[in-house]
Amino acid sequence: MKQTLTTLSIALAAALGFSGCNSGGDAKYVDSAGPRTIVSVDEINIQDWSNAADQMINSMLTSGVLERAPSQPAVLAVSRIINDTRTHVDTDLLTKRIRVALNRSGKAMTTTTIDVLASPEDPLAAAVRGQASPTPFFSLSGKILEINARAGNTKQVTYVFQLSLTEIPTGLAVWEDQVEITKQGGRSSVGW
Amino acid sequence: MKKFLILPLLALTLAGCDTINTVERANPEMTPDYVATKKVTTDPSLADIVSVEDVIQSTVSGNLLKIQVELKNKTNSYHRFLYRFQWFDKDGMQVTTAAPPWRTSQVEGRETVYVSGVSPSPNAADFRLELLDSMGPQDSSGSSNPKARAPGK
Repeated sequence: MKQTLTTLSIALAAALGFSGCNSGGDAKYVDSAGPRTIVSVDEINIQDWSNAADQMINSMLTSGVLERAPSQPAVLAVSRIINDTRTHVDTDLLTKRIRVALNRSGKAMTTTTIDVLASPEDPLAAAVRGQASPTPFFSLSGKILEINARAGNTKQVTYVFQLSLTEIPTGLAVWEDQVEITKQGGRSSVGW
Repeated sequence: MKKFLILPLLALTLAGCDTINTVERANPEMTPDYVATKKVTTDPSLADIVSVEDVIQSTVSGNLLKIQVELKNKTNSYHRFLYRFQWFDKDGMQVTTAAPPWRTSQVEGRETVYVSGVSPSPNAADFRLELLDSMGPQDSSGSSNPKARAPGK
């Protein structure tokens, strides 16, 4: 009987010890596009960027406007994306995802030698290519906005992602879309 | 006296039914290209709430496969779920190595929603839609949520 109790005690202690390895405060890896990521009301989370970019890509590809370029794949330049939210964000989190998706789809390629701030993404390529840089047919511009609301202890924030694709020869926005992501809560939580 | 009891009960019953009323053309003019599907359910509770009604396909941007799935909330109450599309080439290989993002969607009682995905490459010949029950809020300091299950495959 005593031996059985000792064995049970050891097993219980071992089980508790192992379960302690998974206690909540420990650092762990999660899928950055998955449902175990942290949701916070006061900032744009990693999954919000993925979600907004995914919807924009689907919209742009469905519209078929990229087929309008005289040479395929279309050459695209990224213009100004204005951050009008209260937090500092790098808008490349949105545009890079869109660029990668367009490149993979074979529908558009982005020039890295032209930039609105005269500091091209790839300065070496820009210096070597000079004026011979390919003239983009499309320019991608946009804005990210934030709208806040509060009722009692519940806070709500809407992040609005606006993008326009302008056909450079005509100066007309041939594709435009807006994605809104609204989150409510009082504190950070895990899950979507 | 009975009246006083019936009225609150009626009010409670009505409050629980936030369902959607719809109207549409009696003889639809659209001719969708329906896709025959195979379903594998690993979460019967979710399948009992959000059911896949129809799957249709089209080609966009010249050579990209677009899939639209009609999902219906079979219950009278609001529900939130996640979904994502996986894409495969004609050899069955996943088209992109990076996992596509989960997207959140929600349905009111008896509502029908449409989720769609455009293949990331012209090589995509097939798709798989994965549905996952949405987790309830949990502290960021908490351990992994027991409700998070592998999506149905």
